[in-house]
Amino acid sequence: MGRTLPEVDRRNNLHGQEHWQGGITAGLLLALVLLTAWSSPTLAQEQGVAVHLIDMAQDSELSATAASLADGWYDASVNSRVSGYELADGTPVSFGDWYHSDWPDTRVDLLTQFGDDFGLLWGFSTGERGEKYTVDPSLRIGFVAQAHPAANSVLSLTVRAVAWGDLNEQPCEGDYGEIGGVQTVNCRLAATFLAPEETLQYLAHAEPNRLHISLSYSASF
Amino acid sequence: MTSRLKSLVIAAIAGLALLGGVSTSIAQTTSPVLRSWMSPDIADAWTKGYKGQKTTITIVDDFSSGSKFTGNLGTGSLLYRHGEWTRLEASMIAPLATIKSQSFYSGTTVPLASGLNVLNLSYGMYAKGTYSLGQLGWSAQESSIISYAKYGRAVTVKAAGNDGIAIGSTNAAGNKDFLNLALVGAPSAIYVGALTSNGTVAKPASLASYSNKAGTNTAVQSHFLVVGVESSKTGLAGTSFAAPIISGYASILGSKFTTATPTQITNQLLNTARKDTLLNYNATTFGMGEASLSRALAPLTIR
Repeated sequence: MGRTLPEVDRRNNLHGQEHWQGGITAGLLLALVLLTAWSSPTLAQEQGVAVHLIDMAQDSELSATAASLADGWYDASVNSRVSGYELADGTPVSFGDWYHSDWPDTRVDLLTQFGDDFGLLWGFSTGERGEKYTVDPSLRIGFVAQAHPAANSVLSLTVRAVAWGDLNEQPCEGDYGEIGGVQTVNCRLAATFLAPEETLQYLAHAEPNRLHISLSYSASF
Repeated sequence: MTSRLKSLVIAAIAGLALLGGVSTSIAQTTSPVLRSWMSPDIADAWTKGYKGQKTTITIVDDFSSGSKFTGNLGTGSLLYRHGEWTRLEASMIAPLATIKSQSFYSGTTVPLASGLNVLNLSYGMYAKGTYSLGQLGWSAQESSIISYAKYGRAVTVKAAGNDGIAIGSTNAAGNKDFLNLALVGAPSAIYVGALTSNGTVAKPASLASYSNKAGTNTAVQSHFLVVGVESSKTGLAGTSFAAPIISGYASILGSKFTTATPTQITNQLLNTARKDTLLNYNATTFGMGEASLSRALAPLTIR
């Protein structure tokens, strides 16, 4: 059985808005891979191939990033967090209503093992959707290979790439009445002192860690 | 008409001899600090970078007389003229606004800059209450101010006055503030009364005993705001120090809504004023209510 190796930390890069890319394509590819893997057990056995479920978790950092949008930000001037605001008539608006999901991004990782020292890593994540953000589904593909420099030691290399899976924040339509009209605006920043059009550059966008490379060595005494 | 004009007395807090009408501007270069007399709303404006840039506040006031008094707006005790205080106060609220100064003794037309213009009038023009508005003649200075307010060319922020009476009424000395009267019905004029403190829902504020109130004229009520003048913290009392706060708010609003007209800025401040932060709110006393910068900046709806 192949070994799973510790992942490097994922990296979130908040910057300008990009468009949603290819979630449907990822889902189709994923379905195809799953179908191929699970529909040919005989072939797999004949070729010494085995499929293992090696991890399944709801620990997406992009889910955490989305949740952090609901938390707002700390305002030192009033020594408190800003996690909402009041509309012009005093109606309260809470970020929490916009940035939560009933189904958090769920990751499934599988290993198709070819022989004793090589395996294909593959998997997917489901993505998640809140009222004002999406985390796209992702496709995870890679391999693990290992060598035995000595009888009691193992050197392992794991490489995994992630396609799609971006977090994108959606804008709101804010009605500023006579003074500003209806404008597309960053939901969280609509009541700040930023001009409505300037708030759009602060729409959150984050990507999963696209490439994971890990090299490990272990020895038994 | 001219003789009647001569009877018109500038009755600003410090009304001394005419020393010339020099228009000057100052620039703020220091980092702004939230002072204890300010609403927390203001610091939020600064943290987002909105400090009144691309707007001009013109302070029409006394910058040249020998009358000075002591106060402390949080920058240490200072001995300043009336206009120097109101100018400093407005510049502390909107630190990146271009602040221009015009001596109210000048009598010359108040020039407007490009972009949003805000005029701060922390003074009154008093004459005997037996006159009618039509009997009075105005200098080029007040004529220009009234015209700007009437035709929506500048947000015209007028201190309500310190006689403890309704706008337009005759004070104990038998005089009326005819500049107040001349601005009734002007779409971009705002009268500003003084509260004893910045109001909150938990601790609603009262009108300062000296402050003029809106009165029963609905045309005044609909253009009347109040803000906290925390004189116990600054040593400065009077509606003269309420007006620069609204001038600063208008400037910050102009930073966000860069294409808004003076009348739109005026209406936004008036229509988003709070009533729930005032003790026993009524329109006769408080007009539209306590100005709320955060609500003025917020959308009506969002989806």
